[in-house]
Amino acid sequence: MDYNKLVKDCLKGLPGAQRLLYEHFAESMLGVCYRYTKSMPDAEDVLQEGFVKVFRNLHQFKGEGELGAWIRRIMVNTALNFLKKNSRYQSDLSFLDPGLHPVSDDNPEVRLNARDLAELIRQLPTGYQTIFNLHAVEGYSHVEIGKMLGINEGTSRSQYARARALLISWIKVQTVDSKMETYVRP
Amino acid sequence: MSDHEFEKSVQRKMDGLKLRPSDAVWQAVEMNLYRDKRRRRAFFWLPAAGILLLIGGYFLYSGSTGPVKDPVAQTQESAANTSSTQPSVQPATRENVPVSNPEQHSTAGGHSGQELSERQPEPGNAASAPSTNHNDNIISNHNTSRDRQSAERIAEKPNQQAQGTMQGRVSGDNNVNKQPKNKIDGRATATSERAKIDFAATQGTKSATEEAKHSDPFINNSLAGLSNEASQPEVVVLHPATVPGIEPLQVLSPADIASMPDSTVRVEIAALLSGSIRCFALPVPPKWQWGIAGIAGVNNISEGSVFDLLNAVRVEDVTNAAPAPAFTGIPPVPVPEASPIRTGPVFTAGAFVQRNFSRSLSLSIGLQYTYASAYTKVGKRVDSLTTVNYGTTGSRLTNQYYRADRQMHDYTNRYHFIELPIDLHVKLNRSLRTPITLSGGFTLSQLVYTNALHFDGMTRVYFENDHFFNKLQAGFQSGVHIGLFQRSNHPVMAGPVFRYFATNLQKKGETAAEGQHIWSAGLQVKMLLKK
Repeated sequence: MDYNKLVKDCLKGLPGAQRLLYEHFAESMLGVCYRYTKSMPDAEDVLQEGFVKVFRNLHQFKGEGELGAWIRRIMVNTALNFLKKNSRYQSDLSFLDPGLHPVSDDNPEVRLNARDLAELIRQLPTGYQTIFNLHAVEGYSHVEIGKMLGINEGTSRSQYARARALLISWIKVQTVDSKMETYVRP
Repeated sequence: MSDHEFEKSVQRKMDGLKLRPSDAVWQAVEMNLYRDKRRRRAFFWLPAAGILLLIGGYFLYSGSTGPVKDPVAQTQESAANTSSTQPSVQPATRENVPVSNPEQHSTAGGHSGQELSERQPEPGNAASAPSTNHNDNIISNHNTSRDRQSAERIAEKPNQQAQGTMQGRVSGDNNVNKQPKNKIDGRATATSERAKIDFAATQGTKSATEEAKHSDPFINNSLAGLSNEASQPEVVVLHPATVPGIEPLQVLSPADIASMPDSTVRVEIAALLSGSIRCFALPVPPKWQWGIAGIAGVNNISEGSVFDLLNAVRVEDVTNAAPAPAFTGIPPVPVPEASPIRTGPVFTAGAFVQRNFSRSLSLSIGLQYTYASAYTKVGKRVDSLTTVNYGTTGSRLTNQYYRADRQMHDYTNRYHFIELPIDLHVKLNRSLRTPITLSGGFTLSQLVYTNALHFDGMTRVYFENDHFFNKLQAGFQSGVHIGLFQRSNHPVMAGPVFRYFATNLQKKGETAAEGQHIWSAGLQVKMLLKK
């Protein structure tokens, strides 16, 4: 797909081009939004808000990087704003619970499918969930995460370590359960 | 497994996570984009409104620097012009009324001006109205549920009750209307169906037209009739004056309906087109609205009453000194008089809150800043200590004054006010696209700062002293506003306004001032931020 032409057509305000751009990226971007929120309606809210921002700011896209990555950054920022604004997420996003979970250095193999893994990530406390997504999935450094969330780098590191440990423990349980199911089945 | 392998694995899996959003998401995005487009369009018009404001202000200002035109007269003239356009359109509308039945036409003429003016198409509507017969696309509406019930009752029994009443009323009015009942019924039904069809054409909803065609054999007959007289516009017969016990029906053109901001109206129109309802209520404006307002125009000082605005005024002599006596045998020495005051610009900016009592009556209260000015000529400025006089006996020292001889230099008297205007607004017409509103009210103004000069008639000098001014000014204002961009999220009202401060500018007790007043005239633009 010629993204440059698509962007130009969108900037001209052609509804067909806008729809095409939306349909091309909507599914993968909903995956992004889904990881940061706790429910599908919230994820769709973020997706909607994010795409409105995408179309409003499309003139800022200079075609230097990949369009998908640019849209993804907007979605992540929109999701973070949503978490900050939404009262349901605010208490979990306070990053004030050090030492609740042990740290793990394991590097287990992840055999779960994407949806199951996403479900596990979404079950993390919001603070853990957010930092895990930003560091492990989006690849932001802890310094960047600290700036994005208004916390210091150390907090981001410790929160991530605990999130990682918690998630690994859940993944292990899930993997064992699925193996058990495999053995039980005739 | 190596370090970060877990992260890479998670990243890979999450990159592949794709979920299908519901259709509502795109609809919401699309709606937001559409809203943005409309907002951009409104912002495109804002500079135009600003230019209009400046041009209006310039003309008002340039007009007042010569022989000053009475702003009251201007306002009245403007209102007269507005009203004078009515008859010029009315005959055209009257001509559009089919004269196939002269008696019926005479009945319509019995309700005359107002009725016809309500139905007359607005110039701006021509584009959105159907290409043919845009005068006859009229749908009747009710304001209250009682009206709705009554109208439905009448619509259900047109041959029995309603028309009988109509006939009775018409005869009671001593109008000669002997046309057969079925003629009236037929015409009313045909017209209402035609309104449906024409409106459907306006909206591009052919299905509604088709539905209307097949719904009733009578409609098919009406359609056949319409196709024969496609070029002959018609006017709705049903009118409140003919149906006692029913509050005035609002008669709207499709362009008016199309301009309605409330989407619920469109839903009801759809129901109307499908025949499931016969009439519906108009959207009631929200109780509270707010917005911003600005005025640009001219400002001046007057003496005497509000009717003496055009009289030339000089800088007020706070001593009220008599001219120097001429001694016998000595040629009289010319005594410098106080300089005349000329108009200066006035600007106002502020915000207001509006309480709507009905569709045609609202009250607004605002908070605004006003800069008003007036020019005069003074002589040389002297930065030296001198004694100036005020009142009959008072005097004080000042370290700066202007001489009254050789008045070569322009001096700007500046007045800065914080104001609290309270206005009552009455809507003069029923147009939803270009509503015309008459406003009137009063303003409490606090003079925050001024550098205006006083004239000491005894020593013949000008000097500043804001203590001599009445800081709290009460005034009244009036204006006519025309609504613009009513379909946008931020409708604009623009029109001429006139304001007069009834409080004396200078304190009478402290000085010998006889009473000067500030007045201003200009163009006001108000924009609703909460529609």
